[in-house]
Amino acid sequence: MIYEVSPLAVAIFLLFVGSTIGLSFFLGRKTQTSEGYFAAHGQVPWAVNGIAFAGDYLSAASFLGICGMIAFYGYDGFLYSIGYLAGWIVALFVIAEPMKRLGRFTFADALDSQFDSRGIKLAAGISTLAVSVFYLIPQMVGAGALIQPLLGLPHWVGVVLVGATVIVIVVTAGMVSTTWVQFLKGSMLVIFSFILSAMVLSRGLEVTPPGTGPNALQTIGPLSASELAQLQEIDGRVRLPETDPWVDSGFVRLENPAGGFDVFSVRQQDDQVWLDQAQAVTTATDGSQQIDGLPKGDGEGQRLLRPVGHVASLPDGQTATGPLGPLQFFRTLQDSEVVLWGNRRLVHPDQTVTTVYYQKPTEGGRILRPGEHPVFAGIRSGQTKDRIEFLSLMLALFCGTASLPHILIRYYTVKDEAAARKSTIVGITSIGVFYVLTLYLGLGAMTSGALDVTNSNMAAPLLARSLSPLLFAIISAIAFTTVLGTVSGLILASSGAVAHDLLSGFLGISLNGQQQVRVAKVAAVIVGGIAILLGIAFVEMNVSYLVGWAFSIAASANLPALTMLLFWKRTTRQGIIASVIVGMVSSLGWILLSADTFTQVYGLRADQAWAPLSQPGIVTIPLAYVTLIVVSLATGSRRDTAVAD
Amino acid sequence: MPTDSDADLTTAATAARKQNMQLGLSLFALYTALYGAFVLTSAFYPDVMEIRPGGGLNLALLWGFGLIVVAILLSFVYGMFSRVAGAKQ
Repeated sequence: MIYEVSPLAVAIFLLFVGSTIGLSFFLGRKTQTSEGYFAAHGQVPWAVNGIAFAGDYLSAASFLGICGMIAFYGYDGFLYSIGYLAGWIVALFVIAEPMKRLGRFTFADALDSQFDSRGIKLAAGISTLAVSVFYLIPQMVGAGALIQPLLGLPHWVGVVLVGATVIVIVVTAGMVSTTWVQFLKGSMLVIFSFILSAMVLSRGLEVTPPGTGPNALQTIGPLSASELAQLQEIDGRVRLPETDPWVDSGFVRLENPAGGFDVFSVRQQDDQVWLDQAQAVTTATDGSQQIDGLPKGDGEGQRLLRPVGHVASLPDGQTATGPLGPLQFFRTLQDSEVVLWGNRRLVHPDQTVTTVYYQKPTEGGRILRPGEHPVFAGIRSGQTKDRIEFLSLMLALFCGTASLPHILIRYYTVKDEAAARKSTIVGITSIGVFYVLTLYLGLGAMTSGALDVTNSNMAAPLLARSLSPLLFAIISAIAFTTVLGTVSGLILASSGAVAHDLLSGFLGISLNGQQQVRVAKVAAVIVGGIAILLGIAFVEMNVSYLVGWAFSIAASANLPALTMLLFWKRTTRQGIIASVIVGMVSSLGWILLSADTFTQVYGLRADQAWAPLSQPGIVTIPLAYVTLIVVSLATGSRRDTAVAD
Repeated sequence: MPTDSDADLTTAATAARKQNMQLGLSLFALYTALYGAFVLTSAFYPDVMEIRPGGGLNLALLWGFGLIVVAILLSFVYGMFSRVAGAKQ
């Protein structure tokens, strides 16, 4: 069984959530003013702020999404780690100190510092909301994915639980409680990822031969390739007829004496074939599921998916390596063969869908190179469009970090520019260490024998489960707190945009500090509610991929305006407004019209999509820069002083 | 009323900011070149990333880890050589 509700895990989970909420109420009394609520009075020590940066930034996408992608595809998930960290270079060397100098509560403050323009406040406020909502979706999806196995509750309950907890955190104490929650989460995430990585290395790698182990998957063969089609009985078992959609599917089904069937993928070598056991999940139109022909469940006459992930062979015929060093781990894996899992979707005449998950023995050298994940496979296709898609994503990751409103507002919580710089350095160091560890965690999960083939987001917690029940409980609770920390920051940024930028700044509604805080709290409840609904709607998408979209919108809408304000003296108010709007609308519109959204959200065909690429950054980021330059030149009024001076 | 001492502090802060900005932009350009080369090589010459230049690890691993380590090192360099932009602003 992959998932089993553990009282220990539930107890630790409740302890974490209870402590977090308790901390928020304790700190709530310090935040009666807008300075306290939005910026923690600018009194957060730089070292604490640095770790809080890590807590804010290392979201469900980093922990659950990247580890899951590495566990299922190898090195490609690590490309996200590299891109996410590279973005901090932009934040430190270009944005950090000016941001602290120019702003007070929100991203719009910095952008509007030279102009006092209602238009800039409106554009930047809406952009903050758009980016934050897109970033919220994967966090909520990750929360739901965690709750399901941890507490045995449905996905939507997890989403609602995160939404409700975060609303309490943000409403009670704003930036003060958010900072401390993020500090605790960032510290624990890095420490326990380190412990988990050390245990992966200590365990080493071990070969699992076919048909062995507690969750053995059978391999049948060799059989004659030319006779396979005629065989009515294989391995002493009746072969099921190839009705639609199984005809020419490449899969063979054999009757299972316990009920249902076992499905096998056909692996051909010369004129011989082997049948490798696969797993079939059939989903009816009413949502009910069957596993290999039996209802899903652990009762009589029911079946569950088997956990997967094993090494097929090690170098020099070894069967187990014993403990491995940090570099030796990669050297060994490079020359091994690991069984990854592919999947194929078969649609029945009554619209029931069967997804067959099948074994893909893969050389270690391929796992540790870019280009195995469907998103990145295009770099080996030889097609220019696929390569541009890859460049576009990597550009968005590079430019996106320094444009995320919930990250930028953290610069207001320290006392001066030097503290902003130092806290960014602490943030880069802790985030960098964590990203190095993601490769050990992901590859450790890949070979742990504990993976759920249907849910890549659960790879890291399941790796922990394969090592120790206590570690599973702690890692799951940390992962949940990870979501809490990031979602708190996002909702705080959104509520600030509503109360400070849109109502006070744009509409000119006069609010004193306490009234602003009250409005921000109401906004936090509303944004939290929207996040809950979106988290339920986007349940099946990989969280890291969704975050890639949020980065594209942030990088297109915010970075051009912010950098040009700092470095180009002829930037005008109209140029900034146009750049933010064009960057936001073009990137958001592009994503909504892309092939990925068509297939995964609308349920349409990829060839019906209007946008030529799924990742918009390579077009929309330059477009926002060009818009700013053209509009600024056309509107012409020079600023007397350059902010950069 | 602003005093001469205030003016000195402002001038010193401006000079410090300018120096920090120049240092930051230089380090940014250096890192961007490393990152850009990594991304372009992965996109247009993915097979090159499989070469094992030394230590038994392929280029994808060495370069990928290198980018993370260099980012941390450059941030320390920036922290050591940047100036405090004046206490009074």
